[in-house]
Amino acid sequence: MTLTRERQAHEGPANPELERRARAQESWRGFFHALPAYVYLILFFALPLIIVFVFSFASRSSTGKPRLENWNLDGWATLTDPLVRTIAIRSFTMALLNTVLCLLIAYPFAYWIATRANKRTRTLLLIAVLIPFWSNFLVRTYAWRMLLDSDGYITQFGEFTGLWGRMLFTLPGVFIGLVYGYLPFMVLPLYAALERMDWSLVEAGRDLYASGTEAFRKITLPLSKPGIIAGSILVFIPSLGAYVTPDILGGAKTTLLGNLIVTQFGDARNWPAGSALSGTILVVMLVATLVYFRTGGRTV
Amino acid sequence: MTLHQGAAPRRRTDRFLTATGWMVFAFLYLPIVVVIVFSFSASSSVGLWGGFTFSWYNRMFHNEQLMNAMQN
Repeated sequence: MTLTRERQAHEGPANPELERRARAQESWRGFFHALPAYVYLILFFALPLIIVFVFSFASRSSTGKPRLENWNLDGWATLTDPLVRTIAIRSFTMALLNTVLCLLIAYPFAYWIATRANKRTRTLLLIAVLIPFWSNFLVRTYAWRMLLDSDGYITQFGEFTGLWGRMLFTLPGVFIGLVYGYLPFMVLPLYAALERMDWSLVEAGRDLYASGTEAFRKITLPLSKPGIIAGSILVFIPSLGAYVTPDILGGAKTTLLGNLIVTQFGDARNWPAGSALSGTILVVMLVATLVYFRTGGRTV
Repeated sequence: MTLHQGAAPRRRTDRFLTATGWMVFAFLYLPIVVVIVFSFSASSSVGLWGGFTFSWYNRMFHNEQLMNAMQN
């Protein structure tokens, strides 16, 4: 509002006409300041989504090349395929299980970091969580493939003690990879929630003869709920579309939604079906996230 | 923010937390360590240790295409 004030200083008492003009100018300025952000979002966020949406109605030539004519609903019709339903359920179960595993591992971990007395230690530990993620995800997944190999130490140790057998190309192997890939997304919001928590509340609870477990259940857990919700969303959504890890560590034996979409765009050359699939997942996730935030995550 | 004394985890809990913490770190760093260690292996197949060598680094720095790509 500096403009308005300057004009007032120059021209004495406020002129309603001038004031209105200045305000209009001011709001235009705001629009121009935000313009790069609008352009960026439209170009790189909205436009690709619109293209995907348009392609879901396209028809295909005999070789599978998408053609932007003879608009039809064939792409959307593939969604009713029972196979798609099976794959969707499988993907959801896996993503859900991955989220739960991440939460179970990340919570004590984030709690451990957040309860270190020294601020420097906390920062260092947090940076240490992120360092492995500076290297390429694919490289690290291949490293796991080697680690879990039948000749590798992990499998040999498991076979020697009889605790576990083959790891590579099995479901546990895939989950090791998934948890590994998405753990930081759970750790960071949990840490943020726990670190800014008012620990004097726990102290007060303990003073009032709450047991340690009780204080945790009634104070710490509810107060860290925003972190739990944010972390769960951050892990669940990308693990629903994960396809590199199941491919490399699972041996591509089971099809997941991610693989299915990739196949539709690649080998199957069925862009409309792939577009319809990704569009549906997007909408489902959007609605689920909104519902989640509305019901439990007001404070996020 | 300083931790309140009453809120600091009890000893047994703290020991459990510390153990978990280091285990998670081991989990996170295992693949990275493997990649770094095998970058010094003379054998070209992963998982087979062929003796210590710098030859991969030598080859990397003499790979003109890669070096050009890095400068860009």
